[in-house]
Order: sequence, then structure tokens, then C-alpha cells
Amino acid sequence: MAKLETRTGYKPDHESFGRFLLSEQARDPAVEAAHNIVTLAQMRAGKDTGKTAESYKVNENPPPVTLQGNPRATADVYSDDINATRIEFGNKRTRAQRPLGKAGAEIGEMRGQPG
Amino acid sequence: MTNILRPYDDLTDVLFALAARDFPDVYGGMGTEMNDVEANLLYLRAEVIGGSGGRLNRTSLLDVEHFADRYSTGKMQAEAFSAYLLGYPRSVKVGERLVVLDEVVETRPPVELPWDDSPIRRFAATYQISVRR
Repeated sequence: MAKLETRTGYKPDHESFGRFLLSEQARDPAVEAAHNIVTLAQMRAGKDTGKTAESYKVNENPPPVTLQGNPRATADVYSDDINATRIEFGNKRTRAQRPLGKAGAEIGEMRGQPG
Repeated sequence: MTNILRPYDDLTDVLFALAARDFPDVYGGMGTEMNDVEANLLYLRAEVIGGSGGRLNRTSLLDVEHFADRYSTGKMQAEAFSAYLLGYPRSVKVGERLVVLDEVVETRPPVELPWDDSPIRRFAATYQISVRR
């Protein structure tokens, strides 16, 4: 008598997918988005921001970010200019311009991921 | 036939109406400006920094800042307000209209940001808020 076929059904491979989320392949879109954010922020930053807009940079290999318990490869946009915080978040005399925040929101929307 | 749609309400007005109704006597001032913060503590500041929308819904990205004279006061109220918003849906009357907050996502939880060289503490959070037209 023929043996009955046994089926195992779909088994998600969480370990492999976890490795994928930390891979260069998964990092590439984040790096691309980060460079787009820098370009947009530099374009939109007011002329009065001086060298701050030029100081925006991308860290293409930061430590993984953990989202809902899952570590993921990502990319950072940062500035080492002393005025960057004031221009981004404002203070008593300067209105918050949020060049990076607004550029990030805009790039996120273009990619179907608001914010 | 052309439809003329009703304009969306200013989300900052919606937020201030919610805060005034559900946190009575907590805030000394609310607004979108930064220059009248220090005389009106505990101050709630909000500003829309981005978003996208359509005929029926709009999703906006909103910065919300709490200014207080002490770390504990500012941090506690910023966290209380965060918990309040995340308990959506919320509805409030702005003028003659009822506005409904359908969904709220906290994209940046309350974190402290520097505020010049004064002892005032500032806690800033960012929310993605969806409202109906």
C-alpha cells in the first residue's frame, strides 16, 4: 500500500529573515532614503542657516535599530554643526525650521511611509 | 460635476481644543509660537511639519512640545499627553464642527531638547495623526 503523503505546510523562517533585515541588501534602501533626505534638507534649508545645511551627512553603517523587538539595518542623517540643534528645533529667538524633520517626512510619504 | 470639499481644520487648533477640554487648568498657555513660552508655563506648543491627504482623510506629522519649569513636571505632562493621544479615537468640537482623530502613531516619544541657557525644560514628541474631512 502506498504511503500517504504528508504535508508540513508553510513554516516561517524567522532566523533567515532576521539575518536579511541586518544585511547590506536591507540597508541599501535606508541609505538611499538618507541621502535623499540630506539633498532635500539642503535644498529647503533657509539661506540664513549658513554652513549648517552643508553639514548634513549620512552615517551608512550605524548600529542596528530595534523595532518591535526586531533588529534592523538602517542609516542615520546627522549634523556636527554647532547651530544644527537651534535650526532644527528652534529657541527663544529662532523659530524651529525642522529642515531634517520635514525632509524626512516628505521622503517617507513618497515611499508610502508617512513620517 | 465639481465637488467643493470642506477644508480640513488646522490640526494645531484641534489639539489645543482637546488639551483645553481634557486637561483643564493644566496649561498656562498654548500656541504655535516660541516667543511667549516662558511667561506661560506649563506651555503646550504644536506645529505641523508634514503630511499627506486625500478626499476623506489627511495624515499629518505634528511636533508637540511641553515647556515646564521643572524636569518632572514637563516629562510627566508630556507622557500623560502622549498616553492621552494614543488612546484614540478622540473627537472634539472646533468652532461649529466636530473633528475626529482616527489614528495616532507616535513617531518620536517625548524626549528632552535644549532650551537656550534658561532653566526651562522642553520635552518634544512627534505624532502622525489621521483626521477625517
